[in-house]
Amino acid sequence: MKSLVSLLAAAILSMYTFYSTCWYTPASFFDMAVPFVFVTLFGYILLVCVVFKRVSKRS
Amino acid sequence: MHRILQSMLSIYHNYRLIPLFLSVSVIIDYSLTFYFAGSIDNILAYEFSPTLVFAVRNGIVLPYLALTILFYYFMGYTVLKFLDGDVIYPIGVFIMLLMSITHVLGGLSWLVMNESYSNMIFMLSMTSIIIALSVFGYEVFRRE
Repeated sequence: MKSLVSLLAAAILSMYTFYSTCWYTPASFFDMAVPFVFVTLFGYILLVCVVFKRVSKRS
Repeated sequence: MHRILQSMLSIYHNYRLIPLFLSVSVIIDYSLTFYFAGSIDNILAYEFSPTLVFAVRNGIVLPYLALTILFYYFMGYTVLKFLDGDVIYPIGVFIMLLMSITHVLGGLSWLVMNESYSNMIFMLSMTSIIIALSVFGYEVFRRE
C-alpha cells in the first residue's frame, strides 16, 4: 500500500511540476493542449481505480 | 574512482538528500526565468506556468516560491521514504531527477528562446508524468 500511495504522490508531484516549471512559450498551442492532456491523464487514473476495485471485488 | 562511485551510491540511497536537488532546481528555474525574461511584461506575455503568472499578477512570488520549495521537498521526501527498500525505488529517484532536470532546462529556455527547445521541455515534463502514472498502474496490477 505504501508504494501505491508514494507512486500516486509522485504522479501528483510530476503534474505539479508540469504546471510550475517556468519555460518560454512563443506559441499559444499549449493553452489548448494542456486541458486535453490533463483530462486524458485523470481519465487514466480513474480507469486504473475502477479496474482495481472490480478486480479486488472478484477475488 | 571507487570513492566517487561510493559517494554517488550513498547519495542515491539517501532519501533525505535527493528531494533537495528538486528544491534547488526550482530555485534555479525561477532565478533564471526572472533574470533572462528581463521584465514582468515578458513573463506575463510568454511564460507557460499558470501558477507563476498568477503569483506575478498578484505580487505573491516570494511566498509562492517558498511554499513550492517546501511542497517539493516534503512530497519528494515522502515518495522516496515510502519507496525505500522497494524494487521500484530507482524509478522514484529517476522521476525526481527528471523533474529537476526539467526545471533547470525550463529556466534556460528564457535564454534560448526557441520554439523547438520549448517543445522539448513540454515533452520532458510529460515524460515524467507518463512514467509516474505508468508505474502506478503497473503497481496496481502487480498487487493482484
